[in-house]
Amino acid sequence: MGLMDSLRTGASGLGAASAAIDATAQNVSNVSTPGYTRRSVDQSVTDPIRRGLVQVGQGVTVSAITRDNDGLLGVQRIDAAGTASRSSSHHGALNRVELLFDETQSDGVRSHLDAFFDSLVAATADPADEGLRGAVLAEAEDLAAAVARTADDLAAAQTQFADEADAVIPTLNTLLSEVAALNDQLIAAGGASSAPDIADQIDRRLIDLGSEAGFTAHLEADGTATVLLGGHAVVTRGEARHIGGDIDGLTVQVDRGAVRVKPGGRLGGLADAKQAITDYEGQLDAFAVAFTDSVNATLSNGFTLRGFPGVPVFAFDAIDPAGSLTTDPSLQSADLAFAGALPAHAGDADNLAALLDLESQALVGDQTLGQALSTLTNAVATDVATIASVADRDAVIRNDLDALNQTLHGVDLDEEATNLITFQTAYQAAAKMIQVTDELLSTLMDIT
Amino acid sequence: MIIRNTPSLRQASSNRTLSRLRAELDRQTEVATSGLEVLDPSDAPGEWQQLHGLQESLDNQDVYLTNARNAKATLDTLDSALAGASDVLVRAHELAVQLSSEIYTDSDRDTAAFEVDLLKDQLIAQANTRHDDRYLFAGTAYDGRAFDDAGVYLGTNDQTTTQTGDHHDIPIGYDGAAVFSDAIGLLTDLGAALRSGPGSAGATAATLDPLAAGHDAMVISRQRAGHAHVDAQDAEELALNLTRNLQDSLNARAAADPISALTKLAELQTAYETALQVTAQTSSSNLFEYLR
Repeated sequence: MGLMDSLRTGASGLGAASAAIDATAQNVSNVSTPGYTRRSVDQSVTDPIRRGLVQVGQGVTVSAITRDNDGLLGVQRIDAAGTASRSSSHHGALNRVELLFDETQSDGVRSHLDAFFDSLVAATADPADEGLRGAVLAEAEDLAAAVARTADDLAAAQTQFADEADAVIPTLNTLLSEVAALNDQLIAAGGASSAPDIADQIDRRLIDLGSEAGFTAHLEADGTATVLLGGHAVVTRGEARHIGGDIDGLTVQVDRGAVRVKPGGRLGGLADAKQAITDYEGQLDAFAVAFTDSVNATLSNGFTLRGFPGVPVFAFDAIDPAGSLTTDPSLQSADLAFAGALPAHAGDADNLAALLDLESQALVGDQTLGQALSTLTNAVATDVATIASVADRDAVIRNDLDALNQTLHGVDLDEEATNLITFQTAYQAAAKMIQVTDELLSTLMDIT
Repeated sequence: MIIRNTPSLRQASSNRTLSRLRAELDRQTEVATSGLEVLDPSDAPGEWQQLHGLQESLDNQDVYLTNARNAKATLDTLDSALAGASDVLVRAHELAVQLSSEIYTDSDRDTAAFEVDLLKDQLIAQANTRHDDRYLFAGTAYDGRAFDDAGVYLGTNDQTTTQTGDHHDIPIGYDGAAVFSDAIGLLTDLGAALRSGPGSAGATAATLDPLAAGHDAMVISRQRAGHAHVDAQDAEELALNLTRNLQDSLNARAAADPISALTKLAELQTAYETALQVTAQTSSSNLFEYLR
């Protein structure tokens, strides 16, 4: 082996150490970059050459700067992000809805129903008393307003969730286009090992897609990502399909035509909350119909203070019973049909007693009016408590996978500092090797 | 395999811990300031229904209490009227006893008959007793007079009640005909007997037993009113007791124990501050810092 070979060998060591320091610098500088996967230098011994009877080493070669990655873990993280985002979004949405059923402010439907029947009980003291009758009418108005307000708020929440979902869809198309473009760049660069930064960017977008709408992904051998929605490929290499639809379903154009897929992720959580609200609305409507029909029917059996047949107090539109529940604004307190027979004496409270009986009758299925509202509140409370528990569990799974990813592929500053010292020492040693070789060459040249 | 402890991992873990403690601290602050352990239905879905049931019962007691107190006031007035009516019948009976004797002249009997007319007016006035603009002896037609000036009943043959408890009603307005019509008729008969000229003493004596029976009937009516008053009193006490018991139950279930609430708040504050300190220390701890 000649001194020139030694010089080249030293230079290769210098280059390898320099590349390793570069990789470490990249790792350290991206220590806080979300989604960054640490890089490491793959170095190997350069093939030796034979000089006579001996093989002479040629130093070191940097074969690749690799990106620490685990495809299976990546796919699991995308799934977990979608699941956790779905339950979290569902929980957040229902939390907002729960406020509508918080009776602690005495302004909920149940409180007003109790107040309505309490006003009827109070009226038994003097069924002809204008003040007590007026109080019944006032409570009736408050109850109708509370039911309508709750129904309106539920409808508004559904609209808000739908709007939030609509706002997500353009973002999804942007992300899908970006993944397709990044796939192209990755192919052009020669794969993930040649372009780790691009692979990182794809990973981040896949997590976002999973989180936003429950997309899944399959990583191909060339490093590109195939993005799937409900089993349908929406990104294949450089091609992205346009996504449409709304909160109830995403549409994707496939060869056989458009297919509609239930979304997951945040969008799915909003859809779940919207469906839950539809159920609540159904229960509230059933209450409004049963309450109105029974009260109005009972009133029609009685007589007013002036001896007229009873007239309905409540009214609703069959299309939206709870949301349209109202009282007849033209009614006077004397129009309440508390009397059971003609002539309608002031103290005749037979029909008032019949109205009071409604409180204990099974009017909504096999439930009383109060029980129906309690069931509704209980359903909301149980849904919120259940989904809170599910969201906690899903968050733990997602966090565990993220932590595992960090543990396996994140940047540990202690490790990088140790590596830096090692590579610095290697660099200094290689430089010294060159310096010594240079001095030997100089000595040789001085002799000659 | 190298197990890395990355700054991102520590940061995420710290953020989760701080976020959880912050949420618990906020909730405990609300518990301590509101004095309520259950703040939202989802805090305890099953418990919430029981709490609401207790609150509903508590609200009902308010109405029952008001009705019971109003009933007591009404029955006080009603009792005074019946007591007055009873006095009228006692006086009428005294006159009848006195004028059953043959020693009284026609003039004496006319004077007595005049007093009986006044007693009848007085009885009709008692029968038309009002409370809060309600005629108490007109049945359910209490917005009009119970009797006209001649003593003819104008009301209905039923009674009015008020609800003072779950499935518990108390009568606060009576069928005046059942209470007063006989008594008014007796006074009419007595007046006629006194004015019947020869044989008036005998005719007057014939009214004695009916008058005594009428008085007894009035006493019975008064006893009924008295029982109703006792019922109202019991209903008032029951409502008050239930209010106290329900409030205690509500407090036991919903109210936070102030000492434990404040203790837990202090614990959470300490835990939160400790987590902040640990986060601050560990986030800057690495080999680079050590080598510097």
